[in-house]
Amino acid sequence: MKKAYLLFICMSMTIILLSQNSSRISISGKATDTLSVPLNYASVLLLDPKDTSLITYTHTSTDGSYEFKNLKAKKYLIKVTYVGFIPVFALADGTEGKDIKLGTLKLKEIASELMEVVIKAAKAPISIRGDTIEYDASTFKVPPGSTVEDLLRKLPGIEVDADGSIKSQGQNVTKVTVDGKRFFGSDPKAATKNLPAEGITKVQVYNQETEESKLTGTSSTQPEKAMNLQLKDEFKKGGFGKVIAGAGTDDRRELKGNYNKFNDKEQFSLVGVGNNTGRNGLSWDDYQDFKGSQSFNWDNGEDFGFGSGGDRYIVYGGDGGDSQEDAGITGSVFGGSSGGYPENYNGGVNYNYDHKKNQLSALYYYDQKGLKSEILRNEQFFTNDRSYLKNDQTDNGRTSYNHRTELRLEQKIDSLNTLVLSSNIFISKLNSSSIGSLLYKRLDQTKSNESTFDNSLDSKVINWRSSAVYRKKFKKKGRSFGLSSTYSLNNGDKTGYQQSDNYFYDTDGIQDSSSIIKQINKTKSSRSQVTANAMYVEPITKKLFWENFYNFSKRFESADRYVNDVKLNNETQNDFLSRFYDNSVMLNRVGSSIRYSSNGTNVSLGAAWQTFDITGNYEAGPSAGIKGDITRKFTNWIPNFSFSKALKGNKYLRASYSVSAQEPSVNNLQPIIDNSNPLYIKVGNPDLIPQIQHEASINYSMFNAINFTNLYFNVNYSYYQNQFIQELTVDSLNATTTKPINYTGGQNIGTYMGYGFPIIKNKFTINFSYSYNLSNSFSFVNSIRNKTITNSHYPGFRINITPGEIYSIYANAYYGFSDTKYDVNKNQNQNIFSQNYSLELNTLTVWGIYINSKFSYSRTSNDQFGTAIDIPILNASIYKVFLKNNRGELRISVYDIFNKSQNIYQTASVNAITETRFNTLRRYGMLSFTYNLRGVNVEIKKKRGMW
Amino acid sequence: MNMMNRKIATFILTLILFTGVTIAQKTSGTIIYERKTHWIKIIQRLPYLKQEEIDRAKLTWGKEDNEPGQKMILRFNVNESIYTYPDESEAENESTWSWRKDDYLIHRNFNTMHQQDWLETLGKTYLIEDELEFPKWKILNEIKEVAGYVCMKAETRDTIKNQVIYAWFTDAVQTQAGPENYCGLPGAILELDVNLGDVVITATKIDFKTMPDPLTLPKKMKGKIIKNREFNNLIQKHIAESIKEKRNPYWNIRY
Repeated sequence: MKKAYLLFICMSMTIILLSQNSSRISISGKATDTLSVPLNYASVLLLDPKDTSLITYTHTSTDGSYEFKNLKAKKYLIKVTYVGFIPVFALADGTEGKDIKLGTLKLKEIASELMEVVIKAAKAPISIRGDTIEYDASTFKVPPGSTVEDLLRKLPGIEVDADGSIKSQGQNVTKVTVDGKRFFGSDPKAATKNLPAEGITKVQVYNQETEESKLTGTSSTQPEKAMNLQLKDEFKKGGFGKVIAGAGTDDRRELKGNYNKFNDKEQFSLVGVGNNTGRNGLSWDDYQDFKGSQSFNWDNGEDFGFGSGGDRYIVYGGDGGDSQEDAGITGSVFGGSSGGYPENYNGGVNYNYDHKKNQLSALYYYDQKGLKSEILRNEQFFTNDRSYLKNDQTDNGRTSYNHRTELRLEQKIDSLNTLVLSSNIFISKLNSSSIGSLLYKRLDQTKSNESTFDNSLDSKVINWRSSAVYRKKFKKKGRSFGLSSTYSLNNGDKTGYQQSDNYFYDTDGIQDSSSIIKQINKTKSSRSQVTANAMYVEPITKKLFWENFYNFSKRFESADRYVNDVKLNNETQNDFLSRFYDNSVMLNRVGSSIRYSSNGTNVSLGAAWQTFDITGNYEAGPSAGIKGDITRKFTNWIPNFSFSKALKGNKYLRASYSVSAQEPSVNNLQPIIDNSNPLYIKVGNPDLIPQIQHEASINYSMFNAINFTNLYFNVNYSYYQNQFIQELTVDSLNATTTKPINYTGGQNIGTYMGYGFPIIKNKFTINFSYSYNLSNSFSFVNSIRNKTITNSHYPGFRINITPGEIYSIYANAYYGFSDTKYDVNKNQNQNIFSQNYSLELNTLTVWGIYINSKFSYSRTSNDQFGTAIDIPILNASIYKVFLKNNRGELRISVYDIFNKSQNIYQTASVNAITETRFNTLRRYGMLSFTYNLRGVNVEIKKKRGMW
Repeated sequence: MNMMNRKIATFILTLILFTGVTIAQKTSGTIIYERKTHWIKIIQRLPYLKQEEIDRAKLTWGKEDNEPGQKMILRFNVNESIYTYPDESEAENESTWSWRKDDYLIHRNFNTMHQQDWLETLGKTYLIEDELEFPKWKILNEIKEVAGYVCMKAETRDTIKNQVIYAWFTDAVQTQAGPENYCGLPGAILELDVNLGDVVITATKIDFKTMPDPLTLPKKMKGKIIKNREFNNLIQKHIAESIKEKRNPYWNIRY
């Protein structure tokens, strides 16, 4: 009780003391310049001296005086500022509870040369921090190769004598440091004369004496200045890289590596891959590391307007067949192989120079792909009156060697003018051979013809493409102008060796004829194209724009194809099959559209008028009597509409309608017969007119940022007028003749939608997807029109379980139901049902060992093929990350543990159903080691990344 | 330095000093800002990213940071300020494609000490109606020039997003207003540096003119009415959750 009483007294006394202390005070004073002229309306800030936080502020009156009233009795810091003057501080100690009169504070004018730069420059090149004056070196331009001394001559307030000695504000600079450190002894000129100006970001000048006087308490008689040169960050370089090497059973090997080095201006990268597993192993990240700032530069914006048709998309795989079309750098990096036994090597070097006004990129990439495969193909063909079977077995071998160089320069001439130049060269060499046999049977299994073949091809293609794009903006906002031009040249040189022995049998199995073909084809082809485009946009209002464009292109194609029959090692020219032609296709398109653009809504409506001028001449060998000219002119109107609206809450709505016209190829217009393959004869059609495609689509998507629900929906519709379709004629010997014709009525409607939502946010997510497709297509077989209707449904289901860093599970189920109906051969109607399931498990086990396994199971059944195909695949790997900074990873992987891998394709077309089987690489194990300079990244949960 | 330049400089200097004297009337007008977001700097701060991924972002997107920023406007009079997007007529429409802008308007009344923030966050529009509290500013001893005005430096912290804020303000523009939700300094904030250069908002043009009093607010300012504290909780929760789930939290909120 006594204690409590004492405590009470103590507390009361404290309160009394506090309240005494909290008696209110005022602070007053006056501000003048150094000549004692009062400063009117100067800002006077009252700060807390502990952390300089702002308590309140006032302004001086006309006589330069100010007063703060009713303040707590404590310490204050007064700061007086006035435009054009260096701010001054004063300490006001009010702890005694008395009013404070600070007297007159004199503000010093900022030296006029300094003030001049402070005012003149748009972006502050100077800042004054107490006694330190800091210059932003980048805003003072000096020629490349200049020294710091040259830079200093440009800085206001700094003078450099002929002998290199420096003065700041008229005072000698006696000490120069670099990043705060002394540079080669005490001579300040050593640093300024030797260092390149390019490497400096800031120059700081401060009073030498203030530092000294702080220590000694005296001020030296002669004031001196010191200077610090701060180096640019960009001279601090970055780099990363990794190597992965693996060896496995079944003689499987892989090696992969990349390395990057960069600073703010330059990026240099190397990548290389070699393997015989078909797993190229280069991911999108590797591609991005390789291309750097050019990763998403798909084109240079050469196309103006609309009507060119075709969206730009990335080629991932492909490169099948003997086509040597340039699939671009993505084709080289990602191109894999499916089926067969592959052997791939590729790699390259990339260099980017990015500066504010210029960007230069150079790339070289080498890509070698080899593939050996055995193909078994069973086909069933049906015509109006009969069906027949075809079996073939082929041993294929092909190797392609591709070299690619790309060069691109973008120059911002000034804020309104930009020029982009590019030049790409692609050189490709291909060797391929296919050896095999063919067997044609009637439905009753009696053979109608059979052949053996041995074909090979050596081919070389050189492709050069260059472009120039110039864009101009104007002072008037929204007005712009563009010009572009491209030139491309493609020269091919192919030699093909063809040998086939063909035997034909009657219904009793007796051979009634045979043909033996042994030919050498030599083709020299050349294709060149020049395009020129112009565009002009004029703003009508702030939201309405009038866009105009003109496209011109002219393509020249010429080819000399010599076909020589070989008999007893003598070559004689086959005049019937040899071909010589020169063609040209010219396009002129002029269009105009009105665009409305405002706060997320963009609508464009326009039309273009175009003409195709096609001319050509063709000729066969002298004795064949085949010769002719083609001249055609086609004109079309093509309308174009697009609508896009962004709504609140990450919702987007888009709709579009477009028409595109495709001209017939000159080869298809030539009224000549190509019977180089006697079982598949191609005939041209001089009556072909352009194919017109109408396309309409509606698209909606949304993402809820709070609960991570997403929804998307898309419908698209295409309708063809004068579509190019094939007219087939099958003769009694099962030789097929095809002829391209125009037909109107083909159409396609497709829709896809998806919905994803979390059951437990971020830990348990479910996604549904569904797509539907309905198409009508037409063909003619032996003069009878076939209409094919295909209905397909693809529902899908995905579950992600990602509770944390210990394990994650991803489960998928996808189904496909597809039924195809033919109005003539109803027997060929088919139903395909496919089921695909997969389960992926990633987990961290004991001792930092991770396991990754993926099981997938697919089952396909087609009522035309009878038995279903089941393919269960299990891949698993176990790995551990070790070494300092997690730089190493050791991994044991087994692919196709059940040894069930097979490549089977079942396709159905208008008059055929086909099943193709490739032999394929099966089970193998692999031990691999990774060394990553930046540490191996282990991911249990697939991350959303940085965006 | 030639004579001509010196003369011009002296003239400008005189002009500025003169402006200082007659500053009392310069209490209403508009300030145009350019708001630049440096995504690479922001990405570098995501704690779940590896150096390799940061480098990849820097390599691929680094040059995009040189693109021009978003124009913003601050309208102010003696008592109030409104900070929002400029009208189309004030904007400089560089391209014909229009991107949607999130709802955003910051209204401050320094007389009644009331704040009204109309802003879209995480796909939803909120209207924060609350008592206005100034940030706790520290005045630093540095000056520099922004848009022709000598500015002083002040510092504060955003404790919700854990950001360092530097404001460069000038007493030559007599208002307590500033860009985004920053205000309360003895003079207009002409440059705001959010988190050491992640987002930099710089004044490009200052016009003194008579503004309506009160300032005109748009008729449509609908949104879920909320207090500062609730809104801050929402942001804090979103950031913590996103970081934990390795997502960039700053796509759907204003940095």
